[in-house]
Amino acid sequence: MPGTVSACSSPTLGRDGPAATRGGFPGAVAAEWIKLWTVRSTWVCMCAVAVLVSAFAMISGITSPSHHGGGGTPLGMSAPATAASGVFFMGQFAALALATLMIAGEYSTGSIVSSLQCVPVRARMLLAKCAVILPVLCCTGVLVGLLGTGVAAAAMGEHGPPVRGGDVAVQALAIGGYLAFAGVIAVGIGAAIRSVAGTLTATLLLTFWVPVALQVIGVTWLATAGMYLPGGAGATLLNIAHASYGRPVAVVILAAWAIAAQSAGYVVLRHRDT
Amino acid sequence: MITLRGLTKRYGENSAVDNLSLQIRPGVVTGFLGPNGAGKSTTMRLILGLDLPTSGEALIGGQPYAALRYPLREAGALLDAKAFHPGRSARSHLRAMARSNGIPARRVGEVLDQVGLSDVAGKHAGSFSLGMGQRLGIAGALLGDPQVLMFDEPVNGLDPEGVRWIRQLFRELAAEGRTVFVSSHLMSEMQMTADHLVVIGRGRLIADAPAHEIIAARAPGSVRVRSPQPDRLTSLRSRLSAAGYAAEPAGPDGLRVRGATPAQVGALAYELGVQLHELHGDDASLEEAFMELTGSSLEFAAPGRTDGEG
Repeated sequence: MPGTVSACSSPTLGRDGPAATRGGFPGAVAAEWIKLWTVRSTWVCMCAVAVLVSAFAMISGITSPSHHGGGGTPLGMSAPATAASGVFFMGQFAALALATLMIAGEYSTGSIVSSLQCVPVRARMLLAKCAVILPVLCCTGVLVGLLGTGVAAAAMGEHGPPVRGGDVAVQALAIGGYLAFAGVIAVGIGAAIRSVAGTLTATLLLTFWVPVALQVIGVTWLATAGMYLPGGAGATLLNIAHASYGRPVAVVILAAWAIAAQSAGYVVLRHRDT
Repeated sequence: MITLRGLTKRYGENSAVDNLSLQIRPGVVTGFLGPNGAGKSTTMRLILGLDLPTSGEALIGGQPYAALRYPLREAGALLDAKAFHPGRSARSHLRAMARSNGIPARRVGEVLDQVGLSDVAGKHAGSFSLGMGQRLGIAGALLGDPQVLMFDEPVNGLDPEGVRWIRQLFRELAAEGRTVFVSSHLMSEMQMTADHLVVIGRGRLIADAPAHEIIAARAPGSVRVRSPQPDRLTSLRSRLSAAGYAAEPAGPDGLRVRGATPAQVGALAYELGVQLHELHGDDASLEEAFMELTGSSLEFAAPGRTDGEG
């Protein structure tokens, strides 16, 4: 492979050179954006979210009790609620895999060395990842919320509960909000744990398995405690579980978890060798 | 300019880097030599702030790496030939790096050309050979046109042509007044490349001097002679000692003479009428100087050391 030996003689760079495009935080965000969309796993995860939610909505819609209601009043979940359930029970796993790969995947491939050479300020690197994953998963959530609602409504046919535009919008936003928070939590945990398997396990325990398990046990105070985990707050925000608090409090709880996870990730990044 | 002040990295009881203080100056290629596990990679990771020092500091142009506003424009480094996502193309990898430091996108094409990867720039970096991975790492180091460049074992995996190319590249970068810091455990390679040498063993500084000085001071040239006449060889040895040259037996029918030229040894042999089958001058080699320098540091290395760090 012949390489031309010519010195890099570009006069516009170096420490005193002007910036053609900004570095700093905007540069770090732009780099994360490029990195996200230039690996196939991102597209695979996005498609997986859509497929999982659509499949759930379709199956759920076809088997909806309203089909068997004998012409009486419509029963069962509305189409927007079906979409939200599809995200909580299935779609979120693929979305969280995406967020996990964004940070823990860098440790598994070794590309974290390059990332920290580019952006050695740990907080900036971490915040840049959040600044990308947050809107990306939020938009993903809104879109799959609308998609899932459409699929569920189509599958239920004329027997389904009536679909109100306001409901659809609120539910889609709730889905987007939940996935965005969960993604930021996963990035924080990933910075702290660094392994892909460990990060995914820890994140899914918090956003799904532990809250669900605590409900199953049937002890009231445990179930209540579970509602304060990201999964419990998420189910409340998605309106598929009912806690003693409302949706605004659910947002606060999710935000608190996101800050806690990011703080843990930052502390490890700052104080542990790469 | 890279400045290390009392740089120390301890892992429990072991010191990977032990109180290193030195300056790596611009305008020359500085070789960073040491046996495997001597702490070379750790030192470079400390300079880039990837690992935290136990004590001391490492500065680039007077500042810690993390304090640099546009780090890639001040210091470029190839640490690990696999520091990229295998599923991302070489071009995308460099494009993301460029964006992070406000480096114009045209530099991506320039460095890809420079390292000879333009034809495969769109391919997944994971499909690259080790040598191509090294070239991509070098492209990343050159991307910001920095004044300080560090390369950890850059020759690994390169074919002979690549090795020649990289030597020339180092020379050119140094000639442009940049600081070029290259680690290797291959002394012969450094002999070809480096103007200045920093030698470490077990994390400690052993030598910091111009390459030719280290070679001259530590390993004078030697001469090998062989003769089918053992008796006369013995008298040659005494004669050489009398003349002030240290000679020691080398094999059943030979001698190794230190500090003498083949002409001097040949003249004495002629004087004594010794029949010679071989008279050969070995140039002083960095290899020998290095073995001599690091011998004591290796002696105490625990045999079970497997930290695989170079």
